[in-house]
Amino acid sequence: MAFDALADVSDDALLVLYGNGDTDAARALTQRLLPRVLGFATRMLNDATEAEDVAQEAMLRLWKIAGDWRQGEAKVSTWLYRVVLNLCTDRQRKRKGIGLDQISEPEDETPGAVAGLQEQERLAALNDALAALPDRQRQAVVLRHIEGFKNPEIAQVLEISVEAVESLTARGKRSLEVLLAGKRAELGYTDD
Amino acid sequence: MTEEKFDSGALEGLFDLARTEKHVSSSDLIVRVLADADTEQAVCRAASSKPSEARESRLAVVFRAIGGWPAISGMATATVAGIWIGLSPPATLEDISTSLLTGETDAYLSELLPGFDDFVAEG
Repeated sequence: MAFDALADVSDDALLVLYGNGDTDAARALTQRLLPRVLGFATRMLNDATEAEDVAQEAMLRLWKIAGDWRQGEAKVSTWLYRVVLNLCTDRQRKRKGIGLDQISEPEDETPGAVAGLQEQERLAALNDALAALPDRQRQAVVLRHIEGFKNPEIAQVLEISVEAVESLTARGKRSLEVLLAGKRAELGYTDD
Repeated sequence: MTEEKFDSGALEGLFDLARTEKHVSSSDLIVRVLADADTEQAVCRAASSKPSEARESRLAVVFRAIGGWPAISGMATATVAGIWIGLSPPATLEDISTSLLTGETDAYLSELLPGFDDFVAEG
């Protein structure tokens, strides 16, 4: 199927097409999913090189599962994000195992394509605050408020109940408000 | 002095900003991911082109279709022979028909139905 014609095809259907040998489907899935996967891994790991490794490994696992994928049973995105999360967790555990958990600054800065110094400072402040959260709160907050998943989808990614997701996101947001308190002026938020 | 609070409105603003952040995949990463995709497709193609090793023989298919041993044991030998003749080809039938028409030879069941013993033993 022509690459342009795949723009309106669902992730599910693209994966099945890929499994049936369609090479354009692989390109379409990569274009659509790789940036999201890379972004999520970067926020979890705060390290661009490790995030790229995780993103590649997650996409490889997607290619491997394509032949067995059954449409309608699960969303490709929630499946893929769960794989990314598990790969990130493994890497974080390895870091803790060799004492690298004290590193809070990324080795490679990934400011992303965001214009303006103030925006970059605001993003850096948010990323620092997210990094200070307990893992599960950070994961829930990022999935909900940045990646845009709904609570039932987050529950599938984290393999917990919807109620647990709601509790994690609420506590995470309260913690962020505390962590960011005192930076309002510094980040350019003034009372109008 | 008013206590500074980082309220939920400002936090939502930060989330909005984070959502606009584009994590651009390096061309090197894209190439690696697509190379993996090609490799996995080649693996799938290779796996699906191998002939099935579990293909049943025609005899086994018919054997199951007629109900297996319980059915066979209930049939007269002639019926079973008829099934066998239907499966087993015709080079023998030509010999049979020739000999019957000319009356030249007496044919024995074992000669007319090569493999019949194996057929009834199969299962």
